[in-house]
Order: sequence, then structure tokens, then C-alpha cells
Amino acid sequence: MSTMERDILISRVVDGLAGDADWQSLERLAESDPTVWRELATAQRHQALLCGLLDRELEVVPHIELPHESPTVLRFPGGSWKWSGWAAAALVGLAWMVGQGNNPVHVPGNTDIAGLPGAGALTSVEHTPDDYLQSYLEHGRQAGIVVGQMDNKPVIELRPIKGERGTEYEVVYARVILERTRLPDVYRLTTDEFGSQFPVRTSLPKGVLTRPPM
Amino acid sequence: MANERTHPGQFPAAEESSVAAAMRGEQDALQDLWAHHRRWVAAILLAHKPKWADLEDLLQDVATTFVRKVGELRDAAAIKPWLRTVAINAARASAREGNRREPGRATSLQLTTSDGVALHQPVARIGGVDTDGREEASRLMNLAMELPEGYREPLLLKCLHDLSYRQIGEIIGLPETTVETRIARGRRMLRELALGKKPLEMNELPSQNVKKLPMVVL
Repeated sequence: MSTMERDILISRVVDGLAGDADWQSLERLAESDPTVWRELATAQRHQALLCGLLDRELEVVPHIELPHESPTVLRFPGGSWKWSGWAAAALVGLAWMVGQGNNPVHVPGNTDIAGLPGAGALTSVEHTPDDYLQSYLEHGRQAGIVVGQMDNKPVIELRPIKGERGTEYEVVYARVILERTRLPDVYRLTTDEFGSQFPVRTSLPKGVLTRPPM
Repeated sequence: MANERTHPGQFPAAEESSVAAAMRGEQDALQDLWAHHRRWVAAILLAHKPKWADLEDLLQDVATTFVRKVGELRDAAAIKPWLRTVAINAARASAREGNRREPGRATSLQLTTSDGVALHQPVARIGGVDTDGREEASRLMNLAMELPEGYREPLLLKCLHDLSYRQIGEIIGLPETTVETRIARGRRMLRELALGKKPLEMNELPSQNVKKLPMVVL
């Protein structure tokens, strides 16, 4: 009998799953090697001790309830990205209009972007984050980094919140900006058997490789 | 508080609709699902957490992630592997956090014997005798924590008496026969460790030290 078969026999007895055939095999084994009874006794004691300790450790479990203060978050079934169609666009559009022009950010007159082409207008008055985004896009295009911006804004999360006029919705969405860079080599992340991520060199086919951004 | 069920994993048809309801944010479904799974989730945490990390805190972290993220599940049937991953991530995050603060520290609530055995509760002693085997159990748990993850996890899950090999397999993503084999080998390895022997399997493990390369990754 192999070590594995012996291990399984003992384990089945410990778990109370040994059938007649298992007991017969065990008795036959014990006739030639009585130490198996000691192993069985030890295994049963270990199981009782471990499980007793685990039971004590897990006494806290029934007291761990879900957090009450957590807001209800509505997630789109089947994955958020699939809901990037007109309904999501409409919601984002609404949120966009409501937020337009709010929360201006004051920029001190002497900033890093002051010397950049087209940035002069940003340094004199208060501006919104949108103004800075537009500036980034323009400068990015000029520098050859920004390729473009996707019109579609996929919704990631929709959260009902209390507003002044009843329930409103806080929408988290992705703004996808395509950028370009150059790399000497290409790697991809992979995961080892311990769950750690590490990069491995990837062999890419010759020619142009494309894939949808989302 | 929802009642504890005695047979986790035995409501596959109902579970799917229950998970779907939880994904829609229905509070009753969320509570029910959590009550149903939290015990084995805690066992997973025990199998992965550093000795000094507090189980209650970690389980609360998993509960919070569960509420916030369950809607992101793409497949309701994947609830168990997903919860297991959440638990493992929580345990590993606590290990990383602890290492950043002070490597090898013990929490103020942790009791440790002079030979390094962690005691989770005061040992009941009469005249120097470990009356209910708690000290021996703690020592055994420490040895179990030395087992490779693939053996340690099913071994601890089997201590939850209502989990079958099949149900354990559903949680850790392994066939029933593999789970039985791992538990059997794990028990033998534990016996060998208790006798001061190093199990053969523990010499065959691949190195966990993966070289970190400084580079740009796409």
C-alpha cells in the first residue's frame, strides 16, 4: 500500500467517512504494520485539538455583521462596462450639466504652466478642472503624447444620494484618454502560485497590434 | 441578525438568486448571504493571516468589502471563490501593513509563551497541567501554519464540520478528490512536523522569492 493510500485511509476514518472496504483495508494494513493504529490515534487527536481551537477562534464570527453605514451602491449586472450605452451616456450627461461650472479652482499667477503655449489664459482668473483638462489635452497633442479622448464615458458606479430635491445620483464614470509612449521592451504581469504578481517578457507578433480600450 | 445555517453551500439554486439580489443591493439578501458564508471566510482568514493580526478586524474588513464590491461580481456562481480571494487579500494586506510598521511585532492582545507559542486565550492550568489541551492545540496550530498553503487551507476548512470535501472544493476551486488527497497528506505532514520531522513535500516547494525587476509594465 502506498503512503498516499495509507494517508487517505487514516483521513477517512478521522472524518467519519470510512466505509466497510476502508476498514478492511486498514485492518489488513495493521496486521503487517501495527503502527498505523498509533498514527490513526494521533491524527484523531490532532483533528480534535485543531478543531477545538478553531471553534474557539470562530466564536467571534456571529458578531461580525455587515457595516450599517455602508451606502447602497447600485452596480450594473454583468459588468459595468456593458452599460456604457445611451442610458449611461444620458446619466453622465445629466451629471455633467449639473456639475458644469461649479467648484472653480483658483490658480496663483505664477505657476508651472504659465510658460506653456496657450496657458496664459489659465493664469489670470479662476478656472474649473475642465479648463485644466482642456489645456492638458491641447499640450498633450502638441507634445505627441495625447492621441485623443473617447466620446463614450462608461459608468462605473451609480450611487443614490439624498439631494435637496429628493433622491439624486452620484455617478462615477471613466474618462478615457488615449496616450502614446515608446518603450524599449514589453512585459506583461503574471501571477505565481502564491498570488504574487511579477512581470515576464512578452513576445509580440510583428506588425501592428490593436485592441479595444474597454 | 440572520440565523446561521448549518449547511453552507447546499442551496445552489437558491444561492444564485440570493447572490443576484445581493448584487442589486437588497439588504436582506446581503445579510443572509453574509451570515451564510462568514464562518468559512473566517477559517480562510485564519489560514492566511499573520499570527498577530486580529481575526475580528480582518473579518470586518471582508464584510465591508463584501457590501461594497459584491455588485461587481460577473457571475453569481463565483461568490465563494470571490469571497475567498477577498479574505486572502485582506489577510495579506494586514501582513504587509504589519511588516511596514514593525516586523515581527505582537499585538497587545496576543499572549505568547516563552517558547514562542501563541496563545489565543489564557490556558487553563491546574498545577502546571494543560487541562484542556489548549496549549497543545496552539502549538499544533503553529505547526499547521507551517504547512504549504495548498494543504493548510483545506485542513482548516475541514474543521468546519458541516463542510464536505465537495463544498471545500467549491471554495478553493479544486476537484473533490484533490481536496481529499490534500487533507490526507496535510494531516500526515502535520504528524511528521509534530514529531520534529520535515515532511518530504515541504522540500519540494518552489521558491517564493521572485526577483522583482525595475521596469515599465504595460
